[in-house]
Amino acid sequence: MLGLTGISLAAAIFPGAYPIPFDAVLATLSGQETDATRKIVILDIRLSRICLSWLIGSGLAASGVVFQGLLRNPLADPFTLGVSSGGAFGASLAITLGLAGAGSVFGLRALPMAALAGALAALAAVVALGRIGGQLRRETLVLAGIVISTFLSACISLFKALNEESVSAIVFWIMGSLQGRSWDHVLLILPYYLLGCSLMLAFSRELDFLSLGESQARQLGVATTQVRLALLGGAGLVTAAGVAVAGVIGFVGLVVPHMVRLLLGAEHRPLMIYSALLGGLLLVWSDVAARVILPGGAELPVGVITALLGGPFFCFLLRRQRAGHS
Amino acid sequence: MKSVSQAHDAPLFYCQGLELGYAKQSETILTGLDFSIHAGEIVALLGPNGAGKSTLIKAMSGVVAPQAGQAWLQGSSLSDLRPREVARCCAVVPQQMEALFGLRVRTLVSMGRYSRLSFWSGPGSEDRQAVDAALEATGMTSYQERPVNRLSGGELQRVLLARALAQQAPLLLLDEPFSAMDMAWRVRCFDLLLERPHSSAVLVALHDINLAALYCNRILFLKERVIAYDGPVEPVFSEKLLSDLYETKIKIAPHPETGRPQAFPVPGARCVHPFAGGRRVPTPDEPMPGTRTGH
Repeated sequence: MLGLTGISLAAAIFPGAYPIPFDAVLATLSGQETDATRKIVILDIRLSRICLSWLIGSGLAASGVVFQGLLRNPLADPFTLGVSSGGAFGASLAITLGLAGAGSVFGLRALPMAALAGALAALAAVVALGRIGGQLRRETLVLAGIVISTFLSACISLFKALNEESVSAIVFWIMGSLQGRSWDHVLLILPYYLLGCSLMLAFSRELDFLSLGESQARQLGVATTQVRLALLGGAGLVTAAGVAVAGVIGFVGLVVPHMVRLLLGAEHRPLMIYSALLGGLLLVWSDVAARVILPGGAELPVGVITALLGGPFFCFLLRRQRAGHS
Repeated sequence: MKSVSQAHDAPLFYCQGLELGYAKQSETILTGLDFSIHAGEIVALLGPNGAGKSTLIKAMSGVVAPQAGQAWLQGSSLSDLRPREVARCCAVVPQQMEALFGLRVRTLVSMGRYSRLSFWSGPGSEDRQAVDAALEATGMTSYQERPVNRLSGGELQRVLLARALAQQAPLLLLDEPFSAMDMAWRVRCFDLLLERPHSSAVLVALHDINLAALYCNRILFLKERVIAYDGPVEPVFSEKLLSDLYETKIKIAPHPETGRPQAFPVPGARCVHPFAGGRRVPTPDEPMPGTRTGH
């Protein structure tokens, strides 16, 4: 799996609108490439984009594992608790106010920053609403997520209605894309990704317990409230970071954990690690597909590719599950 | 404060004026609970449906906070203990488990060791031995790689018992742990409970009062929000008392092998048809318990 990941990360450099010969890649990596355009395409455009898509794909898949185990719901995904709506709200606000291209913090435009702020604020609001008597209960969490998402979606619709010029920009952003992302975006999300992933991995063993329900986890010795908060924070950070730079890329966080569960079993630690690897791979290749399917250098939003792949697969999975129960 | 010399006589669990319910304002489920459990005991927790048996077990394991009163586990106040510390003192077999994701049998049994692991370390050889022994004792060794959602109800209950055994806690709290097992496995599992170390105790919620008579040395009977009876087994087995407790006619006969008392409900005793003029099976020697009518 690791080998496949390495090979894919390298192989994904080649496909794209601008042709790259094999020796040019070798030359660039060893610092001997003289053609400046090739160097920029390889290092700054392709490689950064591959790294970003791998980070986002692996983060979404790992968060999916956490949300499904934590909420004890096989249909949960990283966006169930409204992180995506928060990000979309932040981005739409920036687009509507005409700030999308304005400002620059750490060499970045305001859009990803606004999306990140929106996603984190939505997560914080859901956790605050879902905390009743100091306990995080999954029913109240899901309800809080639905309330926040619905409210924010209404706000986004309001923005669209108020400012018709921004509709296409908002829609394109919500569909999810990795077009034109750079190392700056990688650097923006890397701290959140690393912090979130270490939290999720540290408490992955406890996910097994939480998936049995509150009272059993407690009776076996898990400090459920603290562990839940840590896992939720970790998964939320990673998801928010992904949403901030690439928009809402669906299905990776929903389908990948199920695929790995079918192959490996339900133990959450291996499930999380392999889901992250597979999720990274899936998004790298989906992004490759997104940039080569249309002729003439035009790109599809990568969210469309993952949904096109994920939709049918998910139907298959549901049917299989139904068949297994009857 | 108890002195160290008395420590071995100290109860594993003890509570005073315990009042239980699920939220601060909601209706009280159990009230005025005062009892203790000592090492060596097997206590049957009996009572009709909804009497609060499961609630009591959840409270004893720190999942439900009491509305009033206090409880102590091995001398420490339950409200001061962290979940990990509680889990080292008492192991719980829950009444039901929804196996949503197919964790493997061995994973589930290994969870019993969690409270003994530190944050950084994985299970050691002692942990693996405890898990192996528990799987062996419950006859689940050959099932250990199977996902728990492919097990029958009785097999799942054996896995949950194995998990509690692997936990090696001095107090075992079992909530209808054998209800889905066949007769042979019920007896085998109770035999397992008799083999446990003498320093431990068992509280087992049951509906099968006859198993309680065969295996337990004390009965705790919950009814109408209070402890209706707490004491040795034999005095409970009077036809009058049992008929009163369960509000149905019950006959008693000795077990043909061990001579322990066994209870037998009488068919139709409580069946009052509303259109039959209140006719009921006559009870010549005992008045029918419960003057309240209807259900």
